[in-house]
Amino acid sequence: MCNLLAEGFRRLFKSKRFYIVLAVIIAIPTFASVFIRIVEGKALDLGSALCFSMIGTMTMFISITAGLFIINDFKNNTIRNKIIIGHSRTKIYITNLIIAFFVAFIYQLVFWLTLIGLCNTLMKFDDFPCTEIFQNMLLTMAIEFAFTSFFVFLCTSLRNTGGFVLSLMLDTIVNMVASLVVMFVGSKKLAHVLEISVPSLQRDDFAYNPAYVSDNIWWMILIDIGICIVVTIAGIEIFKRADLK
Amino acid sequence: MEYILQTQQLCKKYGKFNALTNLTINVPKGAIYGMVGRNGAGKTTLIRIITGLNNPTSGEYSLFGVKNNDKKLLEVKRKMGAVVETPSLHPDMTARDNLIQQTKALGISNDKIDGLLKLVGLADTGKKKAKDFSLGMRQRLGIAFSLVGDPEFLVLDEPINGLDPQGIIEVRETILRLNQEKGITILISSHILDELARLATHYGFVERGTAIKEMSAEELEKASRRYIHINVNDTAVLAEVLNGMGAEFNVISANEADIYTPVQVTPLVLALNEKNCFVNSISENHESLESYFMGLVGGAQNV
Repeated sequence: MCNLLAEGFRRLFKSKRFYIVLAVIIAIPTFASVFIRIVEGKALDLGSALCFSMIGTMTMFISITAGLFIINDFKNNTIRNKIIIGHSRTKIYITNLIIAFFVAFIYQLVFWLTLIGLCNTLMKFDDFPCTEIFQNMLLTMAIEFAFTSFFVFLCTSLRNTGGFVLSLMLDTIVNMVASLVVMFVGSKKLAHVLEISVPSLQRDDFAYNPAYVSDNIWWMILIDIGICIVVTIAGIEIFKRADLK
Repeated sequence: MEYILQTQQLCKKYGKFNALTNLTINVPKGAIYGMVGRNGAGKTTLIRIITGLNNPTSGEYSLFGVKNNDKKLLEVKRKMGAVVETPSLHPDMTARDNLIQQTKALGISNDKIDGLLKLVGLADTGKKKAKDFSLGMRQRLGIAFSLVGDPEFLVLDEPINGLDPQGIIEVRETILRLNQEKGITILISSHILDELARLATHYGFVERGTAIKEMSAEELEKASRRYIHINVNDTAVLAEVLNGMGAEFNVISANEADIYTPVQVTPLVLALNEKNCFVNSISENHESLESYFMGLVGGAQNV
């Protein structure tokens, strides 16, 4: 497993994509702050509001790096090199998952650090730092890990560009379908359950109200962890049975 | 005899298509085992199964004496290297970086990389990325990839596909050197049977997913028919004389023919001379691997 991680991380750090996406993640809040500062002419209290405004976009960035990291291994058939020398498919899958989680964590962390840096210069924080925002940060990471485990599942199971495209669109698809279901479902109880259990809906309450903490936050985090575990087990089982090129 | 690879009644189905049907082969230790078969015969499917890329539908195989359902199989697979069809390379990395990736996956040091690059003739590629390599260079890098872990068993699927004559000679010499100097057992499949005949010490003939015959190179030589290749000024006359002698033959051109029935040369030459047919040259030959294979599978095409 350590050998696979060493191989995987070396490949990740050698790819330009990892750094390009990282640069884009830094550039977005930076340009937004500069623009707002120029237009308004003074530092506004926007730090907290921007804290969770990019969760949906962030999942897309994660899928670009992590999804393509996995897909390229299949596309170039370099996955063979690991299987031939006796690495189990379970370990290969878990390695990919760890690397994808690392990408998700680093990207989100860099975004927040950039925001903190900007709030000391171009903008201001109103509520930050406070327990509520830290709790929501924890939930944000749980939501992104749940999505990331789906990306690994899709890319490893489909093993083609289709898997990557689905990963890229996953948040939008889930958000759209789940919102429609919640809107049209008759039972309020069922709608509430969906709001707690679907990662795309979990963020609705705090995305633009960062100091609001849901009463069910710990349930949401547990559900996200559960999603990661179930999706990973399913992904491993499918991957173990798959015939590779 | 000690075997590196043994398959027993191996079957593989893709939907309704039987890619392998009760395939049984035995690869002896130290051999260069040439797998011969036409397109779709099941050679690559077998290689994919023994390398772990595909799962068999039924049957079993053992590598280094360890069966495929044994958990120890993953351990012994570290002693194996393979190039399956196209080489599996990281296109945006240099040859050296590609090999470093494999050392990381194996958890070994990078010390041998320069030696390997030299062995496959890629020591001077510098910062050139694998995506800019020629097919031959990729093929050789693929072989270097498979050698990173110092394998005792090497599986090469069509290793000389797309190589120029110089490349073919280099790969052939590399394979022979690996077998003779390092004692590596090699399983090799190739369409280029003449090339395979220069390398293999053992053969497995595969047809429609089944191994129809296994034999050593010596056994093949004994089993191959001897024939006389004759060059005359008129094969029409030669055919008339040979028909009269009840001999089996094949006219190749207006001047050349192969005679499969043992005939005495002097009476033949005299008989031809009487009919003003002159012999330019005559030589005794062995049937080629290709001819033997054709005979075995019934003159099939597209080998």
